[in-house]
Amino acid sequence: MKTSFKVVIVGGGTAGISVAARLLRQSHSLQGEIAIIDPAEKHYYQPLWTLVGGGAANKWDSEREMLSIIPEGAVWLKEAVSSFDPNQNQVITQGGTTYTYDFLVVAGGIEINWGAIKGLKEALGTKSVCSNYSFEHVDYTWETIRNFKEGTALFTHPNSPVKCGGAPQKIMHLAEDHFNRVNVRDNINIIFGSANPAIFDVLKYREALEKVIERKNIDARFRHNLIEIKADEKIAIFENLDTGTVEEIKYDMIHVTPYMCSPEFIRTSALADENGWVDVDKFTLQHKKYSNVFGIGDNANLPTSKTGAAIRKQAPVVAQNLIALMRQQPMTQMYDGYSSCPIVTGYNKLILAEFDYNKEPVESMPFNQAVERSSMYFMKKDLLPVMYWDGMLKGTM
Amino acid sequence: MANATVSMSEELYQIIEALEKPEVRHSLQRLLEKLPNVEQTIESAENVVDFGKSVLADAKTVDRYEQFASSYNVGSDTITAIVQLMEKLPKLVQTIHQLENIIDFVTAVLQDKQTTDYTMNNLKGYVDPYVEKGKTSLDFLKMIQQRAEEKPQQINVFSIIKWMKDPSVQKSLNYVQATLDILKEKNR
Repeated sequence: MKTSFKVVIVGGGTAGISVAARLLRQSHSLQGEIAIIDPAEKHYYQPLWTLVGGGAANKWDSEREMLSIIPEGAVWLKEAVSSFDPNQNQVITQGGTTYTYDFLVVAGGIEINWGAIKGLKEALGTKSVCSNYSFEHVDYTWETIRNFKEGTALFTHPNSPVKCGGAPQKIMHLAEDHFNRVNVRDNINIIFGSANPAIFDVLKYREALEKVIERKNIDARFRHNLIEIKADEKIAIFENLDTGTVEEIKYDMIHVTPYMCSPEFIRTSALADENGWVDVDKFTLQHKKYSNVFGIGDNANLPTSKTGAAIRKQAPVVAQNLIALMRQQPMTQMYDGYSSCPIVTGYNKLILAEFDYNKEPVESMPFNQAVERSSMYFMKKDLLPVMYWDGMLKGTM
Repeated sequence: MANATVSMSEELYQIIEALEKPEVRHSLQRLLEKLPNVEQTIESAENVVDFGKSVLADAKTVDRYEQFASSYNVGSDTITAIVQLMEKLPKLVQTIHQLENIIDFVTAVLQDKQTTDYTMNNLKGYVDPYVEKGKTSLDFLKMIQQRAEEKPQQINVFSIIKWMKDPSVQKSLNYVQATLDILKEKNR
């Protein structure tokens, strides 16, 4: 069995597959020389889960066999990584195999810590406790929303980085729209408990979203961090991050966005910074200490939102800089911190936020994207999945 | 004459003195060792020059290649174009690269059954309401046609008066009346 590769990519998620596809397109000599290490059998297009939870999409459309998306010429090692030895250019798997590399790309994603909120793990999928962040339970979100007729609907955002910072509020907007459609909105009080200081980081979109919140009469409570759920009593316990006080909120349904952190095998490795994320240069994406290592996607310590759109811009930078290193040429590609968040504000309505490291809008459409638009909703629902499966994962977009 | 002999002896003495230096002796030795190679190289160069001379002297061969070259439209225009093309190559490569990406993307979409199924289902979702609406209208027209053919009836003045009482006819006539009123006002 081959255990030495020119390039080892840890993680077969969006970032890992995109980089592998791009490398193979750029240099045919890498055929059979790129290994992707990932134990998962399925690959998910997670942005669709927002719509699944809102009853607007089928969750099975988000799932594909891992084998079907591994680029031709790459070797898939169906194993889980347990540790790194970057001084010896080695990756060690849980099965005990050691793989050596010339170049390493760390694309291990982000880990969901269901246990960080007391009572969540046990209650998830029952007693009106739902979350879009689980393929297994995403259907239950729609079931809960669909059957909800009156009371308090609570939506949360944790005190940690999350996959797609806008997702926790997207499901709230879809739920609100649904309650309106079935004429029960007047019987329902909607609360958004968020650990963030505001509804969105980028001023332009924040102002637009604040108006949406106001128009929809949503009770937004910022710096409120969910720490416990008493599912039997339907009580959510929040910590006020400014005052340190604890507050109980009685709910009738709750959508929870769980805590997320860097995967353990990365967090505890020599590649991590003090917060556990892969320590890379924010422009070249090259590791600060190990020059033959790159970090990309959710597991990198880049000061931008963790989204698939960000990876779309990071992947060409990593691939081209890596090829430049192989050819002993200077690295020329720079990532500007671009990220994008299509914030669904209802069925058929969407604000497309696009911004860079400076939190400045970087809009790709020739119109004001802070306005809620049906065209952008159509793009998210119908065009982006196609672009993802057949463009991004193939290394052409 | 005596002066000339003295000068020669001095030169000879200087040469001998130079030859006594070990680095000069070493260089000379290496040069002598390489002489066969140098001779071979000179011979090869001579061969090439001779070959060139022979080709140029061979009128038949020159004619043949001239004819061959002239069968192509290679002129100064072509040479200028080649130079221009070379200038544009970096940009062209970029464009071709983008084009290649687009072609590969479209090919991937067309070959991806799951994607085409997903797109078709979504399109169906958009189109279905209109198809349904069209169907309802068609059914409505069919029912009218059927009814008219099934029950042919005599239309008389009383029938028309009965129609006039129907709310939908009244509504339409209201529009007619409003249109006439506005036209009248405008023509004043």
